[in-house]
Amino acid sequence: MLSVRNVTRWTAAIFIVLASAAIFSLVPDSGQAGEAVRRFDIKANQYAYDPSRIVVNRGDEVHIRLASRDVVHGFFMEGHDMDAFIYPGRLLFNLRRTSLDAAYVPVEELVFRAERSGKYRYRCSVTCGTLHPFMQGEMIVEPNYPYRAGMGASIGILLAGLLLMFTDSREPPLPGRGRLDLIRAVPALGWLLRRRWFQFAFMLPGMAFLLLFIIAGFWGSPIGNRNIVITFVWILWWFLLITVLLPFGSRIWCMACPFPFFGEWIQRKRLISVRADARTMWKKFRKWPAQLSNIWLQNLLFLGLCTISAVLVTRPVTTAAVLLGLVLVATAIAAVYRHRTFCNFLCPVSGFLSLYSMVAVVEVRPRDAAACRDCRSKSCMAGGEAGWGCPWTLNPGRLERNNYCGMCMECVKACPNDNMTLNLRPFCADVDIKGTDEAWKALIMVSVALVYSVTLLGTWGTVKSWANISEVGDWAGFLIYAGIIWIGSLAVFPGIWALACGLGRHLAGSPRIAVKTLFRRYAYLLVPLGLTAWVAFSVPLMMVNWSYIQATASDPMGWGWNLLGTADLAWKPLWPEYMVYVQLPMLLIGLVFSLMRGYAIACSLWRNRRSAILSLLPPAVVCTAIVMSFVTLFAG
Amino acid sequence: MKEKWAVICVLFVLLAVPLMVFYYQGIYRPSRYNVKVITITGVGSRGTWTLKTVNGLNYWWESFAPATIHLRLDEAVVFRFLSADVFHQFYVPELGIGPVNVDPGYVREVRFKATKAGIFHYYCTSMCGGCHFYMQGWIVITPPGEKPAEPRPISCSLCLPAFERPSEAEAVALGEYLYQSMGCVTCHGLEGRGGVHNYNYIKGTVPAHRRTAAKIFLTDEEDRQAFLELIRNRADLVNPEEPTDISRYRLVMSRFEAAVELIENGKNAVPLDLAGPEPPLQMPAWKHKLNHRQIYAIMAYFISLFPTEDDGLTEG
Repeated sequence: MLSVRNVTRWTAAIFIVLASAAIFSLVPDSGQAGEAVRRFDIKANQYAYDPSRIVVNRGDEVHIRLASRDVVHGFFMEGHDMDAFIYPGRLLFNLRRTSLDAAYVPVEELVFRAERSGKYRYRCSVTCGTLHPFMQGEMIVEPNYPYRAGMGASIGILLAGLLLMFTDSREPPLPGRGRLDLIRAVPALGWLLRRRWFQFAFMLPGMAFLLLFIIAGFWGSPIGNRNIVITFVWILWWFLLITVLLPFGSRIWCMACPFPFFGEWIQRKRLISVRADARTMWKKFRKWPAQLSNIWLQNLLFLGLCTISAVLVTRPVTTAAVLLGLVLVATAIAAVYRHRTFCNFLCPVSGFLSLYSMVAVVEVRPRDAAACRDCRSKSCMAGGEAGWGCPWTLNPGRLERNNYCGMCMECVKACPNDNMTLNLRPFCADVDIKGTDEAWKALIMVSVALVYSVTLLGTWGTVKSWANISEVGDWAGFLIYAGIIWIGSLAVFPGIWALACGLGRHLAGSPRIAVKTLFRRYAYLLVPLGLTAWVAFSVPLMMVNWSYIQATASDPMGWGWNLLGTADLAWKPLWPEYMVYVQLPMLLIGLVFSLMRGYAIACSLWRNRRSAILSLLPPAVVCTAIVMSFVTLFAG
Repeated sequence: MKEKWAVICVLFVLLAVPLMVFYYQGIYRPSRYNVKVITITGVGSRGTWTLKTVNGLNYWWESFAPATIHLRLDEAVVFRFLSADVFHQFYVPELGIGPVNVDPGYVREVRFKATKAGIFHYYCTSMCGGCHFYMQGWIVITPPGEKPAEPRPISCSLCLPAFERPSEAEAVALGEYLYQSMGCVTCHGLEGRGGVHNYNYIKGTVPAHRRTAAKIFLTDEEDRQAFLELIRNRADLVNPEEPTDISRYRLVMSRFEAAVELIENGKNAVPLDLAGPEPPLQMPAWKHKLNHRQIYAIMAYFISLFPTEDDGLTEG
């Protein structure tokens, strides 16, 4: 409602955010004003620079001498048009201006003036081994305005949020109620979704790619960044999944995913059509045990893959083996258990897709829930003439959340009353986390995003060698690394979260609601925040490695093919110096959504507005702290 | 009907993807060369150039035998160079091949015609890790009708010396260990005998180190032992705390420091024929790989060596 009061409130809130960002930016420097001459000797080794962080002041003249301790490395300074090629065992190194595409010139040192403040990473530009794409250091040019503004804005958002909550006079605000029936709005979409071949048309190309990836992984080049299985799966697919498919298409990936292809074929004995006995044929398949019917197995499998991720995402053979393994397991499970048991309870990708699909702007829902209650045929559940019963074993007529809906559109086809549809809706419209397994998933995802940001996007060579177990073989270090992932995400962070929720309950002064309930419900705060943190993590992967995607599209196996003429492109990141201007807004938007939806959840738990806000306060502070740690990692 | 087409589509994809990959790589591409194609892959972690196909299935656990490349006189071939891990350079100075920059992920092709017979040494000339100096081998060009020679492959067995890494205190033993493990031995020869041929190098062969003691004026056996003792005791050599009995100590030290500096900063090999190819073997700068103490240990090892009668002439 646009009232004077609301305009004032929102103006004040925006002012608080901006003022907080400005105050943090204007804190006087501890360092000297610029124009000094700063000299650094930077030594490269697999997979870090020493020193990995240099700090200069704006206006300083920076001299850098480069050397390599083991193999040939590169040195690409973001935003400074410099790319060096460092031979080990030589005192001179080769330098070129990337913008001129000029030849390398041997020099003794790099000299430049640090003119713009902020964080500039120096990255290895010559493939130097397995973890090469993650080898980087950072130059901070003080005063680091983006970082300070990001920290200030995070705190500002928390304060502004509190102000808005305390001055809110609406009746309990429910999250995102507007819906647009896409099938009514775009009749062609309805036609397309009702085609029997709709899902098959997505799965088949996926199958072709999967086959190509597996061939490339086993028989292609062992160099990850020159093999399509790595660049297309871990960079392109991951980026698209996190930034586009999930937020804008919910679990649309699960509709197109080729993993369950063979399993579903074995079950249905049909690729496209529906069998006449679709309602009765499932009797010969077993039900998944009730005590395993949650996402805990997915959580553990996901953590398992995360533990070996540094190996997984850099060795084509490991990725190919995991892909092949997932296809085999999915097929075997489908041969024994009914429907999409693998997807629902085992698939390590499915777990976080189900969690983050709550954020998505689309949903499959009944148009009229009452009509579904009165429906006798229940074709959407049991199967009908035009569609299979829900493979995800849901009751589509009573769908309230996106979590376990795989967007296969069978219910849209099956419904004899044309009552199922695809809606467009606001972001973060599902807010109800129903199980502790889901709450833990939210905590795990945020912890892993933090660990990855440190390991893969950080500058710490020691952590990289701990994670890089198959090459370095430092088992003690690997145990520390694995311990941090498992204990951190399963015990430490949930412990902090439980404490925050307990404190919130205490502040609210109402023993009516159990800490366990708060732990579960408020875990939703970590959903928008977690997704935007993953977006902020995935954006650099794409910007930095875009050339590798182009090159491997042309030469998928690293065998010297050149199908598209892009195989010999030199590595050049896309505007890496502006990365932080994508990452910081993403993180802040995530925090805004967390607080907004957290407030709605709190109001649904407490009648008293003040108690509701006080109970939300400690988890909100934890969320702000998480955002600030990401801001520090990405911009600080 | 639709179902039948769908099954055909699935079978088509399952067959077409592998077959297309196989056809394009195995049949179509080779047919575009009218000469023999020799694919050579540099494996830095094993210190070899290999003729085997290196892929995800074998890279992590197979050892790759160094390639001996056999050609017939007047045979024309295309060399395709690949790297399985890091940056390498392939260089055969005598045949005018290279140095070819072998950037990982890019395939470099070089056309070559074998116009002279003989056994030619190929090298990796860009340091590529611990085994770099073993990354050498032979190209054998045989006239028609003759039996090809089988030179002994240069393999990396020395890379891991049979003995354990000695403690820092045993300067001479540590020096010997480093001399082998860092790869110095591949050019400077076993026990510093030198004699390794360096094509178009002004001195012909890589310098030996058996007469280091004499060259830095430690001609007297007692002086030699006393100097080794100083290194062993980690004494400050430049400004010794106690006056030493070593004669001409300042002269010894200036020679010693010059040698240390040469190891630290490296030296380019001066070509014999200025218009000819770069000599393949250049002294690398070691200062980022070895610290002062380690370089002293290597010097101590050199000083401890004695020339025997059979290698008096190969000194550089």
